[in-house]
Amino acid sequence: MQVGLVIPCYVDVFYPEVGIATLELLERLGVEVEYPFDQTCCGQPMANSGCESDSRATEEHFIRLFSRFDYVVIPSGSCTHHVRNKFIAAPPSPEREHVSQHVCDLVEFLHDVLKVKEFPWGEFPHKVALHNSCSAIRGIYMASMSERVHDPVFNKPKALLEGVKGIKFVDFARHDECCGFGGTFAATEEAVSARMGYDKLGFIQASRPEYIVSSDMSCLMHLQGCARRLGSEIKFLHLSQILNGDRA
Amino acid sequence: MSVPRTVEQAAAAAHFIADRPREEFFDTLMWALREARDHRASEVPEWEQFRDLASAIKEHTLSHLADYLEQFEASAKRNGAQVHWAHDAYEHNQIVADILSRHGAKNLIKSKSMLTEECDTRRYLENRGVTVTETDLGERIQQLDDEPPAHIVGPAWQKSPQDIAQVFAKAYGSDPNNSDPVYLAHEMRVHTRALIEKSDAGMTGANFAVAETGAIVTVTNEGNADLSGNVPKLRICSVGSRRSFPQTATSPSLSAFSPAAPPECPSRSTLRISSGRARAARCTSSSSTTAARSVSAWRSSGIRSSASAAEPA
Repeated sequence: MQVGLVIPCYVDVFYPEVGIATLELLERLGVEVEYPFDQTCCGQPMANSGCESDSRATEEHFIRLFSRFDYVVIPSGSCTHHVRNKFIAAPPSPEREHVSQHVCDLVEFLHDVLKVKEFPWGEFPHKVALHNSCSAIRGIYMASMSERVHDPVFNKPKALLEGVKGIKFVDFARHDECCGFGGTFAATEEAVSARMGYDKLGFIQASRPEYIVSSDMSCLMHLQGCARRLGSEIKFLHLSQILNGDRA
Repeated sequence: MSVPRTVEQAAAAAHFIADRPREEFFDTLMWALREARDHRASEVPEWEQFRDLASAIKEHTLSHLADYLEQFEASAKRNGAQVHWAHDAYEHNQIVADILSRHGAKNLIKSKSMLTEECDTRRYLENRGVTVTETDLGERIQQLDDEPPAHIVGPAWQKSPQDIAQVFAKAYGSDPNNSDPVYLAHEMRVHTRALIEKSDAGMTGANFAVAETGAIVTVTNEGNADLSGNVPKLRICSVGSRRSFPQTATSPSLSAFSPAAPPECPSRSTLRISSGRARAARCTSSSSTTAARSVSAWRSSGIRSSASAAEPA
């Protein structure tokens, strides 16, 4: 099984350690991973801002690079959501279909494809607040939605993290509300975006975790910015780092 | 020509958020509504089926819109209504002003309608000497404060009881320091009822325009749409073309989603559906019946439509 690894632009630029953890984790699990160096953004920011046709060249480039892999793995719910469900700027082709149908968030790949239950090299004896992004929940269904009150409750990122020794989760209010990031929303609606971030942080900190953990680094980037402005000591880690055996 | 008002969303939000106590009040209110909605949803086992059904009906109707609009027109005419078509806000407002002027109507009462907000109908009519009274409580508060509605469901959600006491004191001379909701509602009732009684035309929006029967469905929880629709001799109903629906039985499933069920209202024909909605939201056994009826009616119409769509032109 050949896996093409996509590292989201903001992870590449701001959090390379998350990209490295993702690669190491996949290799640890015996997956044959290739990271095409020519990769660029998946086109999501443009498409989400209504500039769909402007993202065509980017999407075509993405398809050219990744259609030869059995799976395309991205440690990001929103990029996965875009490639799977909104990759329509490029004209339809068997290659485009293949990419859209075989793209996975890292969590989905571990949980649904490899079906990993244990991460024996991992140990994380800390209290963790797990935040799942809107795209992960409502775009690609990695966890049940609290507003769908009749649905069975499930949480794939949590199921994976439970395979790490010592980890403890804290519950917090409004657990699956948006953190306020929302990509370009954070720039165009700064006040609302920041207020949502501070609110989210407030609910999380009331439950006294040591770490805020997510499978989406973009949410963590936003919350980290809010925490820094408040002078908060709370720490942030991407899910891949804990699954890969980071101790703290 | 009337130019619709615009709001600088991001700047207005920043201004609102800067007032921390107000923002916290609003946040608490919004989350309480979310919880009320979740509670209501939990009482209706078919909630998600209703939502899927509603989407399917809406998609179907929008993809056969022209047919249903023409069918609605024919049905409504059979019922004795006159149907006018407007292709934009300006034409809509002209038609309404023309109807009012032909009937010599000077005092219009209206229930909440997002379409007339989009068209800025109130301002258009007021500039032509018509006194327009909003009868929805939130909408009236916003009208008295010369603001557009802040939200499509709760036009004055952003105002605290203290804010409303100030608005009423200015407009009605009531006690600016009494923000008791019962007192405020009473003040509104006293002043608005008088205007309703002397009105000579009523205007409502429409949640659904039923193609099969020509019926207009207006969902109301304050009873003000009953008054706007039924007290004056002349009734004007402003309907967006996308409010069309195939059959009466398909409408309840689309109106089953409200954060809180309205009280039962004395019903006229236009309200029968809304009290059906109240039952559907409250009581699981009758909501099952409603759902079953909607599903079967929808299925039969869906089969017919897809069959006719499959035929070559």
